[in-house]
Amino acid sequence: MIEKPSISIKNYNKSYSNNNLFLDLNLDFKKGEFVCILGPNGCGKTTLLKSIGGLISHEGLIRMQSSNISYVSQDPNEMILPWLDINANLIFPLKKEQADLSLLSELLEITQLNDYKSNYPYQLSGGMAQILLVARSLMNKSDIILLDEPFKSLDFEMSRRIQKMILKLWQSYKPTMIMVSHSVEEAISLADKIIVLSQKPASIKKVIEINLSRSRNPNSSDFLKIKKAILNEFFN
Amino acid sequence: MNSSTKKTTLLIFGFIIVLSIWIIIYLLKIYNPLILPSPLQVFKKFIFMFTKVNFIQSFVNTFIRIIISFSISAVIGIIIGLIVGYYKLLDDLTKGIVDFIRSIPGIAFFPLFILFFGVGELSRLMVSLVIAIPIIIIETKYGVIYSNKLRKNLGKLYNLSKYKLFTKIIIPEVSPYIFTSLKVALSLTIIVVLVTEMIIGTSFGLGNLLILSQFQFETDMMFALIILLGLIGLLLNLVFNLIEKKIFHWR
Repeated sequence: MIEKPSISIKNYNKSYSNNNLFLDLNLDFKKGEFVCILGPNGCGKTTLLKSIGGLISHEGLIRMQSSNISYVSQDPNEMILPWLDINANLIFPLKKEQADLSLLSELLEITQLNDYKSNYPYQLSGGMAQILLVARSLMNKSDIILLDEPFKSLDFEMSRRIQKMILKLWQSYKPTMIMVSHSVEEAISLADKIIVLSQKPASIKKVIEINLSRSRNPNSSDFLKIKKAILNEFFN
Repeated sequence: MNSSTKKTTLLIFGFIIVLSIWIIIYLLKIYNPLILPSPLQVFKKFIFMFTKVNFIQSFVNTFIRIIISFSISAVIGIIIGLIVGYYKLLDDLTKGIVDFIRSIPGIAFFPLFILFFGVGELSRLMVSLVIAIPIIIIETKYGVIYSNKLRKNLGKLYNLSKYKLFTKIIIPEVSPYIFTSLKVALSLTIIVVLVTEMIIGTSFGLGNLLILSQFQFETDMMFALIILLGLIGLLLNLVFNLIEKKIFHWR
């Protein structure tokens, strides 16, 4: 029996002021899959992610297996509640008894948010705010986690730590992860599958399955081969 | 000298300059002392008036009128503002009339309201409602409309209960707008109550006391009352700023 997809997108259409971003896109995401979407600037990656999260309107059908979704937006200020302190921001989607306190303290530790937990978001740097959003999506243990360039404003070390944490949690309960990125390396390090989108109106240019074992070494020959193949997609 | 003590010094100095000008004008006898009393005389009066029953009575009456008018305006204004903010249809329906009423200098309603509601508290109350409510409605409405769309969507995303969505997201999102409108509404309510007290001098009130002092050429009393009103205004401002710093520090 074929398992129902976690997210099923049928005849997805989206346009901004007569500019078609997507024309009849069809796409399925399997349950527990870690997918990364790559594509040129302005091709609609963020728009697609927001549509999946139900944050913007669209035409066509997006069917989800679960309603427990987290979305990590590119601009953390959009989704952080500035009137709650860091700790409250992390657990606010949860009911008190649902909060996994050991996970919370682990997340605070890894993200180095521990020192800030009774501070307010405006006292955080852009990078730390981004981390807070990622941590919240992990804290929430959503079935579907949507990440829009989550490592954009993080330094190398922090980005590596958060990636490790994301992988660890993903491996522990296998949520469906969809991440939008500009970094081919990031995509290959994390994802099972990479979807490369074309210029608008965006279509699926290429789907690349990644069968490397984790954790992946960016200097290994297999890694570099995949990287080259993806970069070729962008330049032809 | 650090910047805050410098600021305070300058602030006090400003008052001293104004006071000096007053003293000079008084000493030069440019105006009849009956019209322009000396600062000392006013100061004495200011202290003395707190011992008089009819001042205390007036003060309490005015205070109660302001509080009642303001509270009713706030409750009605916020509720309507939230509702029209949520339902665009109702906003379109009421927008024109709310804007129109807001554009009328509210005190113009007073003579009409005296006919409708009689000489007394009710017409006074109605005028302050007519002035304050539209302001609160408009700000609250824009608070709902312009508050961060994505943050409001968090409720949808995380399947929050209606109650949690309202208390954790919508109320904090809209409250700075409401707070701003309440500040404006309160100062307008104070003006309306004082002015209407001057017009119908039926019962005790600070506005009424001002007019009576004028009739009796008690200019020192008038000065004392005006200074009192100024101090109350300053105090309110201080309180509002404190609340703002305490509650809306995240803005």
